Amino acid sequence: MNYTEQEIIEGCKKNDRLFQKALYDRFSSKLFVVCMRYSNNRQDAEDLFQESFIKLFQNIKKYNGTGSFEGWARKLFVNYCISAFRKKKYKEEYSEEMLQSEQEENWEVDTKRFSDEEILRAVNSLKEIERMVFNMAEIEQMSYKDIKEVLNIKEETLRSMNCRAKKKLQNYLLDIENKKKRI
Amino acid sequence: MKKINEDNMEDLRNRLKNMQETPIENAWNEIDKSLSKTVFPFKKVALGGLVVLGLSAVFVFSVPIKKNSDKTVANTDIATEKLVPNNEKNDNILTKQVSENTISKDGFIKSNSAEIESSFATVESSSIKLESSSIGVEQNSIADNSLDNKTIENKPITENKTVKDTTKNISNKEKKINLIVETKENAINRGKVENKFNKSNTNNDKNKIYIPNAFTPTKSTNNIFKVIPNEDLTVVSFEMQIFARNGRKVFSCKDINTGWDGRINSKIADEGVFVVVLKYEDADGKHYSQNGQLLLLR
Repeated sequence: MNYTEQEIIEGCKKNDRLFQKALYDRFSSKLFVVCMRYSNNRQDAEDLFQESFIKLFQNIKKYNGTGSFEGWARKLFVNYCISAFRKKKYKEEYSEEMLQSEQEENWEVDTKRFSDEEILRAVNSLKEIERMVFNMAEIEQMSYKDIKEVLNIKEETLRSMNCRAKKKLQNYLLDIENKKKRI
Repeated sequence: MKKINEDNMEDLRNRLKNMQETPIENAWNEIDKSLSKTVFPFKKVALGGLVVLGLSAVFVFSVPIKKNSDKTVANTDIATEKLVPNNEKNDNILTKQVSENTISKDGFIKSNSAEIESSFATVESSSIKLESSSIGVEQNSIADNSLDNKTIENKPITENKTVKDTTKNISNKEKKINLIVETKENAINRGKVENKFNKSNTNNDKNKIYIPNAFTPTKSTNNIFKVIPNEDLTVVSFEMQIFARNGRKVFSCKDINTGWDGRINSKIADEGVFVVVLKYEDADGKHYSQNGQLLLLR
């Protein structure tokens, strides 16, 4: 049974379980990666995934057809992941040493050499706050001003955190490469 | 050079955006369940209606129930009325037994202790408990008024029950029999209660190191496992080893201030129980070993 995207969305707006399942089958694997990116292990990602999917079905009436549905769904997932992070009331003091280490980091690693799984693992290895900042700044390409409002952290700190995150990612990927070479 | 960097970054961005990963099969079932909970709210409405109906029914039937309760009160009244003659009976028994006692010239009543005990047993049946003090009664209580007062003053008496002899057989003089009734609580209070908090068990804990139960290496707080030595303890040499459940040594260090960050080969370990073994030496040169369980939560 192949429905078009519009048919599925129309069905979902009527709360038809059949279409909901179809929508799930179509987008689940792509949307699950969003949750994987925003959490450090699979368990947390699955929790986030379920909750945000329910949120998606509840709010699907608000989708008015402008822009791709996938983009809309992705945005909803990202927003849910960020709000879940904020609910945790994250607090970690950043020492001045961290601020001083702010430098313009170059991205030298060619990501084509790595598999999807390896890249995801690298993202998961980051610290929670660094991962948030990296995801929002680099992948979602939000402006630092917006992130500042969401996370309530100074722009300077955000920049340095992003740099550190990138540096760590590169180191992690290089480590993997070195281990491969040894074998 | 910078352009290449941006290209690489763009590539990573696209990779992460277009990546696909299948979630566990169970996920849809969970979503299905919670959706079916949220989609049909009218079930809740129906339930609420039922509850309201039930409550109203309870209110309607509550009036006859109250009548019933009135009846029960009446019953209890009857019961108390029944009890009263019982007490009177007991008094009769007491008085009878007293009447059997012989009175000496001095005014003391020599009585058979067994009889009095039996009378006490009957008193006990009417819900007043007489205990060890009953012996005191045997010795002192049945005496002249003046003597009675003395005994009252000397002893810590909580309740005095006076039983007037109404029987005319004994004598013209009214003689009071004081029964010293002591409640159970007071009897306990009289005895020395041991204060548990006075016990000093610091000697045992002095040489101990506290091993925390659990830690969460992935979270922002409590992400490093450290042991906490007692304040009085000075550790000279120290060794900590952590083993996984399969017996593999996961971590070891010789400094008490360093902790484990939950990583095995630079990767955070899975959730599970680990065994911690401590070996240390205090300032006196005594060797100690201690072990505990550690739960790693993610």
